[in-house]
Amino acid sequence: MTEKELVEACLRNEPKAQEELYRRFSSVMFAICMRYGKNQENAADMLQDSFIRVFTNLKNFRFEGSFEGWMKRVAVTTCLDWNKKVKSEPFTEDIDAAMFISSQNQIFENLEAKSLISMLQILPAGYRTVFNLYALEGFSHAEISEMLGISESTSKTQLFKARKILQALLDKHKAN
Amino acid sequence: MKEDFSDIDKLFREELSQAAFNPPPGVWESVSAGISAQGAAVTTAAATKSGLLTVLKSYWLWLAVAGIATVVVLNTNPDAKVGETENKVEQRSKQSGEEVTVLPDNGVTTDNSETDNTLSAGASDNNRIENSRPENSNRPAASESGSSNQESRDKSISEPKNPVSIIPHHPHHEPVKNNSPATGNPQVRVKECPHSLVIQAEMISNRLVSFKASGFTGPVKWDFGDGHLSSGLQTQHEYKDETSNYIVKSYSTSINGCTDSALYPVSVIGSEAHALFVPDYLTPNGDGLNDELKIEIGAVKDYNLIIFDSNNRPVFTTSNPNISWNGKSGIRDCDAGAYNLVLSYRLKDSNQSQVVRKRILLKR
Repeated sequence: MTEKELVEACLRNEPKAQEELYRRFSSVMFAICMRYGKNQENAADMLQDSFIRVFTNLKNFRFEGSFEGWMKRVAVTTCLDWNKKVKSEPFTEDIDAAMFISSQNQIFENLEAKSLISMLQILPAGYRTVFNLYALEGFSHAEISEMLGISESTSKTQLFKARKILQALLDKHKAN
Repeated sequence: MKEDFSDIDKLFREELSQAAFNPPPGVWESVSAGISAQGAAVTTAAATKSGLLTVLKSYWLWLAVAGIATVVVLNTNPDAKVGETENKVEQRSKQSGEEVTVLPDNGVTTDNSETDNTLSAGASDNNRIENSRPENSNRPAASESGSSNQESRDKSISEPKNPVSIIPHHPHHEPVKNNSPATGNPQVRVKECPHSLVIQAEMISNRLVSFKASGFTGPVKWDFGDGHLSSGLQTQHEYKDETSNYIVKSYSTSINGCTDSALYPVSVIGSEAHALFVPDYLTPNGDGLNDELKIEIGAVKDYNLIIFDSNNRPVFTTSNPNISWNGKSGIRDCDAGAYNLVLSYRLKDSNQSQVVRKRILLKR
């Protein structure tokens, strides 16, 4: 079944097609949610919401451009909405405390994707969101400020702080 | 001085942008249940439409709020920014051997572009996340260079010496012509002017803090530490971010050419902004300056202050925010030296106890 046929079948609400669509794309979508979420459980919730949104908004996909790209954007939007709700999450800027917490989880075995994900998850939601949008999604500060309803300078400050913490985590990792 | 972070972005982008992780089991079952529930409700078309509208509406709301806020700031202080810029240029140019790449026009340009964006944001912009963004687009080079400038600026203004602590260890007063504390350079007074500018702050609501400057004649300008500026003897500002520390800075130049500035730390912890200031030292010599360790804090409950000497013996304790330590333990004068302060309190509407620890100096 081609991607287009699959999407059309999903539009007809065929359960098998819907499950197939999930099976094909869930791991890529989950990787995005893991980047934005604060842990795996949080990411799984984001993933669930993302797919529900994908299916309910499927008819808005116009078969222009990549379907995977469209789905990824839905996932990012969903994750942003999730992170808006966690504004009050307390966070320490104490790198050593963060390192302690993370070393408890034994995450720094190597610099593979999963280690990097763990580092992202140490960041507070705001820093993590801005870093993802800027470094991975390629948005500009102007665009990020519009999406998140923050000022450009806040976006820049948060990016700076995110990078600083990530740098400290990477340095610490290299030293070990 | 400038740190290079391009490798970090690249590392994360290369490792993660194409990453795939298997989700935990059970998610599909929830999704499946979710979509069949939605399918059962009225028609899926209506459900979808309203869902999308909610998303669009919320972006509109954000844009509208940001737009109004920006317009208000710009309208009320058109020349505050210009003055601020000049001030910073002057400040920078006085520093020999310091890199002068940082401040000048950034504050102004950033604010302008922000306004343009918010004012020109039309209906089409609302769709940009979902529709108009080309996949894998490269970010514009201009924004990168802008950001590094801005970061240096933010660092020099708002980053405490020790970003770890709840309360940044800043002197209350800081002559404008000095280096900012973040540069770590020793203070050099250019001109002998009295320190008299004082900031009073008060929490109005969780995130809204009002500031008042007194003790100095001259127009007062404000930098709230999060990129927003203002002017006037009295002003207020709403902090939008999550947990972060800011240094509010006010500065003024009097007619006889004296400049003075004062700093006031604001901590946003969770959803609340804390306006509090703990001095670095006290000098109880009866000259009226820093005779007492005057902690400035807004309306809080369960205030409790304990000061320990170097042997960890408590020398002073109070639960009244209006009582300051005068350097005595009972009737005995304490020796000069370092003391540790532990301050705990709760915000009026919160059950969460905040604890602040700080090392202070008693000078004689």
